[in-house]
Amino acid sequence: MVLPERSKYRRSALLALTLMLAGAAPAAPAAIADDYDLGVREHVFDNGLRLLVIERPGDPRVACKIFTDMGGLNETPGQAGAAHFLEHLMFKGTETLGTTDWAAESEIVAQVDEAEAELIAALDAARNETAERGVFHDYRHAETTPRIEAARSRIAELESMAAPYRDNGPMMRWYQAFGGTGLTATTEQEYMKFDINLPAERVDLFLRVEADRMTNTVFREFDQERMILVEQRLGDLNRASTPYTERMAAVSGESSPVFWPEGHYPDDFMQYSRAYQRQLYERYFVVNNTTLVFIGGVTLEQMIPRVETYFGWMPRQPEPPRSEATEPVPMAERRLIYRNDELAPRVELRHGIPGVGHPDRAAFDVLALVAVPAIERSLAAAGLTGSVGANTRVIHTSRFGVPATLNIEVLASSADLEAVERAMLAAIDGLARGEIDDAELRAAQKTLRTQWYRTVADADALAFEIGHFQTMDRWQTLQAHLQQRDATDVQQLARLAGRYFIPDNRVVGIVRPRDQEQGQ
Amino acid sequence: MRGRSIVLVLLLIAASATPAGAQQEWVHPRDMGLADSAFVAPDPESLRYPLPGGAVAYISVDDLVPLVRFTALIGAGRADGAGAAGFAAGLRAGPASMSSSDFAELLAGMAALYEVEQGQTETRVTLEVPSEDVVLGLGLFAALLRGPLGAEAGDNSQDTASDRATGESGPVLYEGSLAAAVQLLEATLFADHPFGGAFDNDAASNAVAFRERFVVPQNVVLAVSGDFELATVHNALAVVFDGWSGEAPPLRQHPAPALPDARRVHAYDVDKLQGWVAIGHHLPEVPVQDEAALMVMNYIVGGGHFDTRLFRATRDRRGLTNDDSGFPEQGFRGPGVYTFRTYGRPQVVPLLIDLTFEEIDRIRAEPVSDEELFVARGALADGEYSLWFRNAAATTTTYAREWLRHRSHERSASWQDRVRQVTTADVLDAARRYLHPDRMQVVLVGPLEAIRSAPSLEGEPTLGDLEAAEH
Repeated sequence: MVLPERSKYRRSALLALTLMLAGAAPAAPAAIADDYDLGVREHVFDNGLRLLVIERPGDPRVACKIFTDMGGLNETPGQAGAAHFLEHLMFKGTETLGTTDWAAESEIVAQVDEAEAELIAALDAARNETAERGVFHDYRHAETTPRIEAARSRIAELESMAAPYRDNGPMMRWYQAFGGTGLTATTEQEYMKFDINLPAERVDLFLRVEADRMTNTVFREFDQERMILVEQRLGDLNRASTPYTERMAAVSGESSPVFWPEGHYPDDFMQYSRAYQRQLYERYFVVNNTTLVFIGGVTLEQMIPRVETYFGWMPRQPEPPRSEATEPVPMAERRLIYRNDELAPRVELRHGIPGVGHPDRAAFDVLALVAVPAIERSLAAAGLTGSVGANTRVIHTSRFGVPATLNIEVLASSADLEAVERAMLAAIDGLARGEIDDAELRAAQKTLRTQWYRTVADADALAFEIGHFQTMDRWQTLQAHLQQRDATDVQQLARLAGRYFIPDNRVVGIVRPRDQEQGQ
Repeated sequence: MRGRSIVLVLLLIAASATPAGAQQEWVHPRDMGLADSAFVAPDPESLRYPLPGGAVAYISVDDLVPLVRFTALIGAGRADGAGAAGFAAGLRAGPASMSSSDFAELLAGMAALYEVEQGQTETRVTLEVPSEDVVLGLGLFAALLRGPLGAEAGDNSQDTASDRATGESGPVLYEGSLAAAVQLLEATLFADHPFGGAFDNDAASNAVAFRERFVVPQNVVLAVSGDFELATVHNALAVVFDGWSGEAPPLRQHPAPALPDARRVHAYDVDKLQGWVAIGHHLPEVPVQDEAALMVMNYIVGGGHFDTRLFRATRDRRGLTNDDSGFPEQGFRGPGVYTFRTYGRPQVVPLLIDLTFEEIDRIRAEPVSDEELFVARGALADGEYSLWFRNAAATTTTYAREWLRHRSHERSASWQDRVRQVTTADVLDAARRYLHPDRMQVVLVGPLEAIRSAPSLEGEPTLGDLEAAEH
C-alpha cells in the first residue's frame, strides 16, 4: 500500500548537528541481554512458598514485594471491592504491632465478632424488609429494624472500648524508621501485593512484618476504613469518564468478574463484614499462595535461610479456590450509547483478547500500537480529525491471565461519529488485510522495548512485573512475552486482526452530547 | 532407662511436629538489632565534568539498561521576567529547524521521553532516549538549548486556575484532584508578587530574549546518565557546546510577601461528590541550619505518608479522608509555599479543616515524642536521602540542582548528620517559626451548598462559622 510521506525531519538542520557528532562511536551494549533473560533465581520451599530473587551486586537497596494470588476475581457478587478492603484492613496491625495491650484488646475483639454475628443474623432475618425492591435503587419496605439497630449500637460501643488499646500506623512506622521507601500496597483483580524498598542490610524487617501481617492481622477500625474505600470510590466517580468506562467493561464481558468495577454499587461497601473478610484472609493468605520477590543487593543463598526463619514454620494449606468463570465464545456485536455533556465525543472499539499465557497475547501489545497510525491515516483519508489511543486496560489493569479487551478510541473533533466509526472499521479491516507499514511495526516494537528498559531500570517496577506475571500465569511467561513482542511480524498481526477484530467479538462505545440526536 | 529413651524420642518427635508458629516469637522491629545503613552517596567530584564557557555537567555511566538521559537545569523561571512562558512553550514545540509535528514524530521514533517543567525560578528540560540514539539525542538536546526556538515560542495558551475560577458567581474547572485548590491558594498568596502565576502570553521576541539572557553557561547545569561510553559523551558534549558563552545573569532575589493579616476562607463551588481543601501560607527561604528540623517536624505532622499525626486523626480514627498531608515546598531565590491538603465527602469537610488546624496547633504547642523523632529521623536520613541517589539519573540530577542553587555540595553531604542531630526542641522551634495557622488561607473547592448544610459532627465550626470568623 502507499503510505504518506514520512517525516521530513531528516532534512532539517538537526541532521547537520547529528552528522557533526557522527564520528562518535555508538554506545556499548547494555548489561541487559537481548533475549530478556532477567536472571531470576527461584526457590520453592517445602510449604509451597515461592521465592524469586534478582541479584544486583553492589546495590545498597532491595526492592521487596509479597504477592498473594487473590483479588477482585475472588469476590462474591454484592461484595465488590472486598479484596481491596482486606488490603486496607491488613494495615491495621497484628497481635504484636498496633496494640498497647493485646490481652485486653483481644477480649473486646472477640465480643465485636459475636456482635457482628448477631448483626448478620438480624440482617438475614429482616431480608425481606431491607432488601432493594426498586429498579433505581430507591425502595425497600424498611431501612432497618430494632434488632439491627441494637446490634449496630453494640458494635459501636465495643469499638469505642477497644480504641484506647490501638496504636495506629505500626505496619508503616518501622519500615519508615529503618529507611524504607516506596511503601505501598495494591489490590487488583488478580493479585494483592505489599511492597517496600529497604537498605539491603535490613531486609529481615520485611520478612518479620510481612510474616506477621500474613498470619496475625487484626481487623481494627473496620467501619472507619470502610469509609476510606467510599472516599476512594467517590474520587473515581468525580472523573466524568469513570461511569462510561465501567459501563463499557460491563458490556464487554458476560461472566468473568474481571469486568466488574470495584464498589459496583454504594450498597456493596455496606455489605462488608468482618466474617467475610476473615474468610477471604484465611482462605487466600496461605503460604502456598504466596510469592516473595527481591531485587537488589542480596543473593538467593542469603535469602533462603532468612525466609525459612520467618515463613518456614507456616504449614501448607489447602489450595485456595479460583474463580471458575470463563467467558463464553462471543456471538454478537454490542453497542453502548453514553450521553454525556462533560466527556469529549468519542467512538471506541473494544475486542475481546486472550489472557497472558495464551500464545497470541503478547502480539496484541504490538497490535495496539500499530493500530493507532493506521486509524489516524484512515481518519485523515476521510477528512476527519481526532485523537487516537489504544490500550488493553480493564477497570484499573492492563494485563490479565484471563480474557480481557483491546480498546481503540478516537476522541473526535468531528460531530459525525458515524463517519468516525466507519473510518476506524476501515482501518482495522486494513490491518486484517496486512496493510501494516514495516517501519511502524518496528517503531512499535522499539517503543515497547524502550518501555521495558525503563521498567528494568527501576527495581520496584521490575519486581512488580515479575510478581504480576506469577499471579497471572507464571513468572517464566514474562521472558517469552517480551520475546514474542519482538518476533511479531506483519503476517501475525494480520492474522490476529482477522481473527479477533470481527463484529461478533466487538463492543462499540459511542459518547455523544445529550442534546445530540442519535445519527446526527 | 529404655522407658526414659522412649519418652525422650517422643518429646523430640513432638517438638519437631509442633508448628513452629506456636513458638514464633515476634520480636519488635525496634529490638531486632537491625544493622546501621551502610549507604554512602557517590562522590560528586568524581562525576563533575567541565563544559565550554564554564558550564558544568554531572555525568554517570549506568549500563543496567540501554537508555541515556540528558537533563538541563536552567536558573530562571516564570518569575524572571517576560518571555519565560514563551520560552518554555518554544522548548516544548521543539527546535526551529522542524515543525512541532515533526519534532513529535522524531521523539516518537526514538521512543523518547521529553519533559519541560518550569517553576518560579528554574526551568528543567529532560530528554531520555535509547542508547542507540545517543548521538541523535544529544544533538537534539543541544539544538533545543542552543539553537533558534521553534515557531510556537511565545504562543503560550496556558491559563491558570485563577483565570478559570469565578468563585460562587460561576463555574470552576474542576480537575478531579487537589491541583485546582492548590493553584487557587498559590494565586491567592502571591496575588501581587512575581510568583503570582501570571502566565504571560509573550511575543516570540520576548522568549528569544529570555533564552539569550538566561541560557548561558554560568546559569545552566547538565546531568547526563545512562549506558554510553564516557569518552563518547565527553567528546560529543565538547562538540555541541563548543563556543558556548554568555554573561552570567545578575542574581535575582524575590522577597517574600507579607503574611496575610488573618485566616480567611476562599470557597469555590463545583458540582462534585467531594470537597477539596488547600490550607497554607508562603514559606520564607529556609536557612540551612533550620532545614532538617523543618522537614522532621513536617514528617511527624503530615509528611505525605501513612503514619502522620494528620493521618491518624482524620483517616485512621475517623475515616474522613483518603489523605491529609503537609507540603513544605522551599523556594529558591524567593519564597516557597507551605500547604496542607485534604479532601472528603461534603459532610466531613468542616471537620477535616478543623482537625487539620488542631494538629497544626498541637505541633506548635507541645514537644513531639521520642518515638516520633526516632521514626522521622530514620525515615529522612536513611530513606528519603537514599532516593536522591537511587540511580545514576537521580544522582546526577541531585548534584546538578545543588550546584545550580548553591555552588557547593555541602548541603547534601551534611544532610544525614543534620537530620540525626535534630532534637525535640528543634522540632518545636521549627513548628513555631514556620507554621502560622492564624495567617493561613483556606481554599475550598467543592459542592458548597452540601458542605454548608453539613451539621457539626464533633462540635467543630461549620463552614459558615469559618467564613464568618477572621482570625
